[in-house]
Amino acid sequence: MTTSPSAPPGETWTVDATVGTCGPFWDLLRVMDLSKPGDIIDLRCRQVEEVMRYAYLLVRAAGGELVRLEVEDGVARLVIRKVR
Amino acid sequence: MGRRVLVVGAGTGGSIIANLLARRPGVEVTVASRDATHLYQPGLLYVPFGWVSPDRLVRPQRPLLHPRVRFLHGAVHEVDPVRRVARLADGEIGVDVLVLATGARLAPEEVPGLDDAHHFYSPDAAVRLREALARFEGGHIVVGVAGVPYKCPPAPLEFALLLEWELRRTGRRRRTRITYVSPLPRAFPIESVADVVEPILSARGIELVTFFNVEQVDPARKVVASLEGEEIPYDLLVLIPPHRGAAPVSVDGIADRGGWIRTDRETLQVAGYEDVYAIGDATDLPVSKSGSAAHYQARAVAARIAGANPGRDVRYTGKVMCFLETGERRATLLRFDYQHPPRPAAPNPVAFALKRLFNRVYWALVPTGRV
Repeated sequence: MTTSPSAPPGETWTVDATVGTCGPFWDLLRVMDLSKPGDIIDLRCRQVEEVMRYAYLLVRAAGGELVRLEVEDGVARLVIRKVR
Repeated sequence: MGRRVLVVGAGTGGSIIANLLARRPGVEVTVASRDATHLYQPGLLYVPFGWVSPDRLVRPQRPLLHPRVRFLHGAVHEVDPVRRVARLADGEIGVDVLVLATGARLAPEEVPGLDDAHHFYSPDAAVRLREALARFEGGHIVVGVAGVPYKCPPAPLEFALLLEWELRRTGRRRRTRITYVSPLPRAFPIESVADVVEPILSARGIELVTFFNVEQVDPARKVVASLEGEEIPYDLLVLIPPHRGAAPVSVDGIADRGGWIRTDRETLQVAGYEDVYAIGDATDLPVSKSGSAAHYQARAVAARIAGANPGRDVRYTGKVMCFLETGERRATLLRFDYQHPPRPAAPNPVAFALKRLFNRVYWALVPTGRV
C-alpha cells in the first residue's frame, strides 16, 4: 500500500537518534506510532550496521516504507514514509 | 520569600526532587498530586504470581515527603508554562520554577480488542491477571507489548521468564506453550541485553516472534494480529497497553502528539520555557521510562534549581540503572547512559539478591531522596 499522489502532504518528523539509550528502533517505533499515513520520518543514528541489517524489515512491519537509507561520516540517515 | 518551586506529580521523580529541594535553604517547595498514595510500580511484576499483595506496594504520600514540603492532593487541570502558573480545582498557584513529573498513562483504547488482554501495569490489572493465571490449566500464552514506548522495558520480558519458571514450579509447563512478541528485531531494545536474554528464552522453550507490531486483538477468535496481517492464536494474552504522556490537557503546546513533554536531553528544561523542567515518564527523552531514570533526572534538576554550587551547569547524562530478573532466582544489573550501553553479566544470584533487597529498601531510601 502506498499513499495516494493526491493525498495532502504529511508532517515531517525529524528524529535525532544519535543520542539515546534504547537504540534507534525504539525512537523510530515511537514516532511511527504517533505519525499518520503520509507523514515523513527523517531519522539519524549511529548504529549503521544494525540499521543496514534490520531497517527495511522493521519499517515495513511498522507500517512504513523506507524511502532512503544513506550513511555519511558514521551516521545513518533513514527517510521513511508512513503508509498505514 | 524563598524561591518558589511547584512539582506537579508525586511519583518517584516528583517525590525525590521535592525532598531534595526541601533541604536547600531559600527554597519553598509545593507538590501537587492527583493521588494521595504512592505506588511502587516495579513490585506489580510479582502480583500475578501471588508473590506480593498490591496493598504492600502502596503507601500514603505525605509521610514520604519532607516536613517542609507543602503537599496538595488534587489534580492539576492546567499548566501555563509562560507565567509558570498551575490551576487546581480550588485555585491557581504561581511559582518561580515549575517541575512537571506527571508520568504516563495507559491507553488500551488505541488497540481494538485489547480489553481481552491482561497486563500487570496497574494494581487492578495485576490482580485480574493473577486470577486468570490461577485458573489457567494449559494452552498457549502470548506475552508482549502493544506499543512503544512503554514503562520499564525489562518488565514484560521478566514477566515471560518468571511465568515460565512459575509454570514449571506448579507442574503446568508441559501443557503450556509460551510466545514472546516484540515489535523490534530482538527481544529487548538494547542489543547487548538481548544477547544475554535471547539464549535464555531459547533454553526455556519460549518462542520469540520479532517485528510483530500489534494492530488488533480479536477476542471472539482468540487471535492477536500484527500490522502485516500475521495472526497468533492465544488462550491467555498478556499485552502491555500503549502508553501516552499524562500531562494536564492544557500543556498540549509543550507536548507532542503522544502527550510526551518536549524536554532537553541534558538540561531537562521544557523546550522553549525558562525555569520549567520535566522529569520521568512524562518526557520525550530517549531513555527508558523507569523510576531509575526519573531518580537521576530529579537529582540533576534539583542541582540546577538549587544546587550547593550555584551556577554549576549540572546536566543529565542519560544515566539509568535497573535489574532484569530472569527467574530461577537470578537477575542481571543494567547500567548505562547516553554514551555507554549496558554490558550485562550473565544472570546470577547476587544480582537477584540485590534486586529483592532494593524492593525492600525503596521506601526508606528512594522517594525520600536519601540515595
